[in-house]
Amino acid sequence: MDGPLRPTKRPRLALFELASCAGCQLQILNCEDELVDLLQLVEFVYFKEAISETGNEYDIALIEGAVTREADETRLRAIRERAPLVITLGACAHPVGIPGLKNAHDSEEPGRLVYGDAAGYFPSTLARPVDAIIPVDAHIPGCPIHKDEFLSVVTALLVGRRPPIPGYPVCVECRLAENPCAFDRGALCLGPVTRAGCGALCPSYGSRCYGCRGPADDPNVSSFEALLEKNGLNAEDVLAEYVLYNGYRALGDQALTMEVSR
Amino acid sequence: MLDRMVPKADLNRFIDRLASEQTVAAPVAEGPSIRFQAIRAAHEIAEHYLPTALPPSKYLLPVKETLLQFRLGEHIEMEPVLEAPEVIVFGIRPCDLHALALLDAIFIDDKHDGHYAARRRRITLVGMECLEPCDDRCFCHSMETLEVHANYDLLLTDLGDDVYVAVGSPKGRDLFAGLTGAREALYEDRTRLRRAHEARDAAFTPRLDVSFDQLPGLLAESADSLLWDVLGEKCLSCGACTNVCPTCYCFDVGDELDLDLATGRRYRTWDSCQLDAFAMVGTGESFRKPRAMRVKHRLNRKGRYIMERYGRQGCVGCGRCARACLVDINPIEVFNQLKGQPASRTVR
Amino acid sequence: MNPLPLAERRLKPSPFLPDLAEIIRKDRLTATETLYRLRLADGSELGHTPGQFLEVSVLGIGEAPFSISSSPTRGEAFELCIRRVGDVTKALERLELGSMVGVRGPLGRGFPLSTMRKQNVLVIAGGLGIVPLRSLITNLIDERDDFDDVTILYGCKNPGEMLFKDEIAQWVTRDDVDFRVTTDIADPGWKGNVGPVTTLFRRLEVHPARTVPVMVGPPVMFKHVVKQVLACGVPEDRIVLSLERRMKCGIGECGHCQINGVYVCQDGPVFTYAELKRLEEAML
Repeated sequence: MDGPLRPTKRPRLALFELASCAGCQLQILNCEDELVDLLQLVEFVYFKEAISETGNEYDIALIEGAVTREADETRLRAIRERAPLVITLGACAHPVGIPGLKNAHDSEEPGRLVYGDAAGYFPSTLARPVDAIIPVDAHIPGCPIHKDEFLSVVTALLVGRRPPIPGYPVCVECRLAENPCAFDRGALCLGPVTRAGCGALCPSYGSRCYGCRGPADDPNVSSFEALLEKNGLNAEDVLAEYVLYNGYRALGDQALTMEVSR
Repeated sequence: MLDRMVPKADLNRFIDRLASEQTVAAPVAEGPSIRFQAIRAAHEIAEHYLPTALPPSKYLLPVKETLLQFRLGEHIEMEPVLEAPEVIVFGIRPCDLHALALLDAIFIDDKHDGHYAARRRRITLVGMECLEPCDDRCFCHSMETLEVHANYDLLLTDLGDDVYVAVGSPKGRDLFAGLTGAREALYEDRTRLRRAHEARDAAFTPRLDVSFDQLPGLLAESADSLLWDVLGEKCLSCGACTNVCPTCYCFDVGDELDLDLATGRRYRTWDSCQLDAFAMVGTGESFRKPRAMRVKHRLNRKGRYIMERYGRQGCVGCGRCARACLVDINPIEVFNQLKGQPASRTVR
Repeated sequence: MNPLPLAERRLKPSPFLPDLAEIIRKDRLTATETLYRLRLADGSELGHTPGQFLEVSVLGIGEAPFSISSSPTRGEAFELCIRRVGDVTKALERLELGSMVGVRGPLGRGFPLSTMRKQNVLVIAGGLGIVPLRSLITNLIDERDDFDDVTILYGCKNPGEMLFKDEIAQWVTRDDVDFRVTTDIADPGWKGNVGPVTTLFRRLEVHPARTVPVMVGPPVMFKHVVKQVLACGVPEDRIVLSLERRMKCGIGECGHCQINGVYVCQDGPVFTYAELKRLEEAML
């Protein structure tokens, strides 16, 4: 039955990939039970992992991956000009994720390590999130994204709702999952300052939060860092904690401030 | 109603049988965490346990609860969802029984909330008395929630080989009717119970420097205390304290739409006054932005506002919030510091 | 899990189940505000008091609180004046005439009409505060003989944000209502007063013992206007104001609208200054 909320036209989606593992695209393909319904709602015109057709007209651009080349910047600007809505997928696109690890090193070093003498053929810039280049309408966070969150964001956009991404920290969901606190197990955890929405997935499996969803909206950074220091970390270790997923901003600002995104 | 005495072995066999026939939830140790969850047999129940990670209120106000389901189209169809599974919750501590009594007063007597009421009718509350303090974070003795005389179906007291069973309702009496090996409690059983209570009362010491009914006054006087600013600087605003609190019941309401964009649900989900979006209005303005105000609001709700409105303890002294807090915000210390440091108050 | 039997559902219905109401008229008032006229689908009257609010649902999007902007004296249809700010308000704008929305209410405590009868009523509106006050003003006019002097002060940011211009034109011409308007910033066509709403007090005579001031506006307006009416000698328990907070459930459960120990949705949104002055979270 057609509800009053159903848009009259199927929006066209295009999915573009920058520096990433393509794991977020795989999450979309993982929507096995929902794909048929999803394709009733939207049309994919560009999705390299899934379809061979390529269309250059689209309503929503989904961008996976971090910006690591000058060519990426040009490409992003062209996408932004075409797409009424730009949504990032995953940690690499925002806050910068694993590609950002190289930002902590001398700019030549990662290239030399990977490509040896051929490094000169693969020029690379500081790894940056997509919104460092173009304005972004929404971020679907996570490493990788969760398919349910992808579906809920798409549904929200179709009916004109703001994407339902929580602003509060992972601790909220971790407590609701009745997990023992990582700090009580002697582990460190970025849960108190990291955006929730993952259902505290890692702590629920006995691990801890590594901050893949980026900072929460209202983190108390100074108190959190005092807590880490109380647990035996010095300022350098604290920075190292942030760098795994939040390297661009943690290093970019030099100060240990996790910038409030959104 | 007549109390009973039952050998522990018989009680355990009874629980085994019940758990095989219906849903019985009890505190179960999962590593360092203790949770109320469904059990299959009595031996799964944690022997000595601190208050559970989440309070038993999760059976009456689930973390996420569907309120309505709807179908959009030419005509809008909607109906309330009043899901109410039958469950026997076993091993509820007196502090949590007090908290559930408060929730009953709010959601049934005051609000006539059909969702809560439906669940409440289908839940059986089996309490378990505390004979020793949990740790240095619990302060039920000071909040006068260590003893419980109402709002349970059965209340058990562990007397070694035997368990004393106080029957609190016809539902509890009927449940217990199926128990073999139980007998009516005699004079000497009551004496054993009294001795256990005397030993308990000696083991628990007051932790607060004020009585619980002085807290509203103390907090009212402390509105301008500098302590709130100190706590505001520490607080991570992670919401752990409110999520684990047995008397916290604030929630958010939202809609979910299926991929057909026609069917969906309205649900409520636990929310926290410690989160910055909690008091935000449509225009984006937050009416309780500073962390210090949020911390103050929580502790005032616990020690003052609920008491003023409902005449019952808004904090039952279970200590969960203090155990959950990574930066050691502990209501015992807060209340005692407010009591002890009138000089820290600023003049407006 | 089986839902409860139907009989039991009827006995204890959900406090969250809305009634359906039909959008029978939509008037764009400004760039951001639209006036919606609605009627309950079962034809019954809303039965509200000026100052009360409704929780309005666009199912699938969400629910939000809006004050009722029409007077109960005007029949069974009712009006809501809504600024486009969030998901629900945007969805409402997209709905066509004849669409159904969910409504719960009327909720909360409205303006104390009984205290105002045979008294002077001084209505002070700032910005969107005119929305609930239009309900009161219309009610005062419709039952004009029940009240003594009626004075209305209305302040808005700029003339373009002024709401209900047609009705205001009528109020201005009435000789049994003293209507004064001001704007923070004038535009070229503006010939009226310029400045905050407190500047309208200059040529105003307030009889402290016979006047009930009723004010709705942003927090900063309350601060100044309360000071002004107190300076006129009006007792604290006769100063009436209505607060805006995040009224999510509307029935004093969910906690979002709480200021100190008070639930705005249930104990208010209309309060006297005496009730609020000791609550620091009222921000007065």
